[in-house]
Amino acid sequence: MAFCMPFALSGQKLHVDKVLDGRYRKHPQTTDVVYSGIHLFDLPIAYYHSLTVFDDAQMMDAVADAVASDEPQAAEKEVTRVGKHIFFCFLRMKPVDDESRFIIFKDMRYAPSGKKRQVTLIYMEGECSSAQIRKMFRTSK
Amino acid sequence: MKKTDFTPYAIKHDKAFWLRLQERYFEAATTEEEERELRGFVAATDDADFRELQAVMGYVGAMRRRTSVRRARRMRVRACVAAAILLAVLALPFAFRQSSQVYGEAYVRGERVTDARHVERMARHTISDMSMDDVAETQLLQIFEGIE
Repeated sequence: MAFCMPFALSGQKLHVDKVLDGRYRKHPQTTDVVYSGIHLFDLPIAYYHSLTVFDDAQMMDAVADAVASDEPQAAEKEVTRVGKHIFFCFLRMKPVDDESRFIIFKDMRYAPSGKKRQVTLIYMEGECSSAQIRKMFRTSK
Repeated sequence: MKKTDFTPYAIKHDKAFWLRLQERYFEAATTEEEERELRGFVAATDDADFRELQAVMGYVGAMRRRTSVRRARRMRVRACVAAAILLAVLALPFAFRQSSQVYGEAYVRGERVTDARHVERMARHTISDMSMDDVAETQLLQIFEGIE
């Protein structure tokens, strides 16, 4: 139940749904975190789901491809690429039922320095603005 | 002052009657009505032939009073328990709502974590890992590459 994307039922499917549906959660090369409530991280965030993949090229590519497939449909985006690959992106997807949806992704294989074989995908839902989410990431230490 | 002989019970029946009734009482053969009559008689007489019956009826009476007090106490306890259960049932949805406001579950390299506070820390750590510094660095590099 925790790994069912809430908006999957509403028909507003995202490509990242496929990698966040729990299929990788028990894999030894992943960390999968689900956190839900009413006011998470002192913001009106109701749902948080992150997936970090280490050292598994196939899984890392699957996550990166899902994000790349959702990127064109984003209502608002900030994307940093290295070549044709997304290094970092912040996507605000079309809202559903007044709830905003955010995808934040980072592929450390393309970091300018300190490269790591690691990708991290974060998906969040809530009644918050892009500015609030960006600020949270900027100020988080 | 000597009691008995002029009580209504004495007038109603003679001593032989009461002795027979006493015998039937000790055989547990008396009706409630007869028992009531006998009790009334025994309370009013000081005839030695009924001393034993007086002692027994006095004990039974005391037991009855104690039993009714105990019964009343039991009823009060049952009422309190029922009220407590009702309150607990009514409060359950609120308690559940409190505990269900935050849900956290994580799998760290296959190991399940369900402590919500620990999961929150992990989420915050993941967010802080998404540092924007190297993103800014990459963007700057790309700008300079464009200039060159």
